[in-house]
Amino acid sequence: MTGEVETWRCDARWATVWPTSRHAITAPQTDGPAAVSSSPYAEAAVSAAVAAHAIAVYSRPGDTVCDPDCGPGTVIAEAVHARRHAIGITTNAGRWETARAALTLAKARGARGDGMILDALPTGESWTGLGPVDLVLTAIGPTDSDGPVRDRLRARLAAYRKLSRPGGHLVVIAAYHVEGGVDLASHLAAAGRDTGWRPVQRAVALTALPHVRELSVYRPDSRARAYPVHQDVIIFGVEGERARHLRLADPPPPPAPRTALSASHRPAA
Amino acid sequence: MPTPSESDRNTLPVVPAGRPATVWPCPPATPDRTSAGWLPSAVERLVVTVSRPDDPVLLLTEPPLSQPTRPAEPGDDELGEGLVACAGTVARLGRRVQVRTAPGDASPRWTGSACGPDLVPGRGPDPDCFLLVVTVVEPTRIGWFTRIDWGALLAVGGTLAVVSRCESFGGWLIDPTVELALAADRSGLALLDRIVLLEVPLSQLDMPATPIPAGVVAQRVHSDLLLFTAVHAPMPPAWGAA
Repeated sequence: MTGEVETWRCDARWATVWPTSRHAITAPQTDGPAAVSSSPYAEAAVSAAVAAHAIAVYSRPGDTVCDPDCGPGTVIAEAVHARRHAIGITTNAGRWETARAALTLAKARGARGDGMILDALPTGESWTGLGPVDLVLTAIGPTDSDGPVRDRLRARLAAYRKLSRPGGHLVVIAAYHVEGGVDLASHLAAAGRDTGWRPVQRAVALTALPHVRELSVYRPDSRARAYPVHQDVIIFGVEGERARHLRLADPPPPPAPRTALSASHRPAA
Repeated sequence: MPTPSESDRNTLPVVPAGRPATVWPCPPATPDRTSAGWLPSAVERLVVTVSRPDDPVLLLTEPPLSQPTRPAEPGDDELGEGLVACAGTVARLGRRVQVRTAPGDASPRWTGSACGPDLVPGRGPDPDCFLLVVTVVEPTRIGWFTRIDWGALLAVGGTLAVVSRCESFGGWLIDPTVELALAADRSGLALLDRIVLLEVPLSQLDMPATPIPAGVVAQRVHSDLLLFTAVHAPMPPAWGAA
């Protein structure tokens, strides 16, 4: 932040590995037959646990969280559950319906933040803008588009620059994938730097309990690639002075009526 | 930790048999046994995963600083010393292990011949090539790594394993991955996998998540294990069955 002396320090209350595997870490491990899991190749999306952790650490109640490629709306649903305002954007009509349904369900379950799902970024002709966004949180996978990986990442991250307020964060959840000689997250960090973001830290979000077999009975196939049980996380900062801005009213304190419906709408883009 | 919504009750993915996971936990201490530590545990798992008994294994430590910019402090070269201490573990697993120190001023590109004492002698002839080479690289000191012809050190089908880490200095991420991958690429090696090495037991991570203050970064509790193999070697599919 310009004009302020930043003294960065490390704090043990937060760690670079997120305990976001969907089973309790302390739960006893079973050693039954291995279940057939779905291919992790398609896991470009962020899980609810990972989204909830990112929102809890990199925003505060009342902040605005935006997922500019919101997919099924997981980030949006978790944000309103955590008393943040949420904005999802997707240009895919089917995904828009899914994301809106997720938001509606979250509100029906008593989520106290407000949210909306847009079908495009607001333009000069839109009736409203996004307002200040405190946290841009999204997931990027290996099959999002064709072309050189670094080029398409630059294009996406450059577009996100318009969203975040000065002093805000961009947190990108990257699927574990090796392409073009390095892993996707390393491409992301470099592409972010190329487009004016400041990569601050790299973290790891566990997506499964990393079960460890006893070495005495371990019979690995030395040529097999590792099976992903995590997603990489790149935390970016935004350079520039912290802006003064108007923000939406904070969500009401608990308890909230469970009959509240989604405030999502579909403005003209 | 925050409680995610009820919509996330999916089944837990299970690592298929025969494939390592991308996260290698640090074994916790038990009442009757202290933890061996994350680096020895990782090296042991690595050796079992990518090599077989009697394979030649090289543990290569960083060269000493020729002109230290500051007096040596406790903890300097801790990783290098830890790697040397792993030699006994590797030997116990039946591999022919050698421990060497990389030269700091190798020119032209160093290929490993006549490069320091074998600290675990008596295991047969000194091989020119290794099925596994393990080294540690500090993220701010990778110059020596770029001057080594890693491809010449590896036997056919061999693996280069690099233990490194990302750091945050002054609010900027220092990630050596791209530089390391480029250097390996010049030696004809390609990144096969990037493994997360947990430096603390999983149970220590189970803390409530709260907003992080401005100007604060999270404590680093993991290192990275980059696995490189020869480009001409058959590469397994990224997500295919083992």
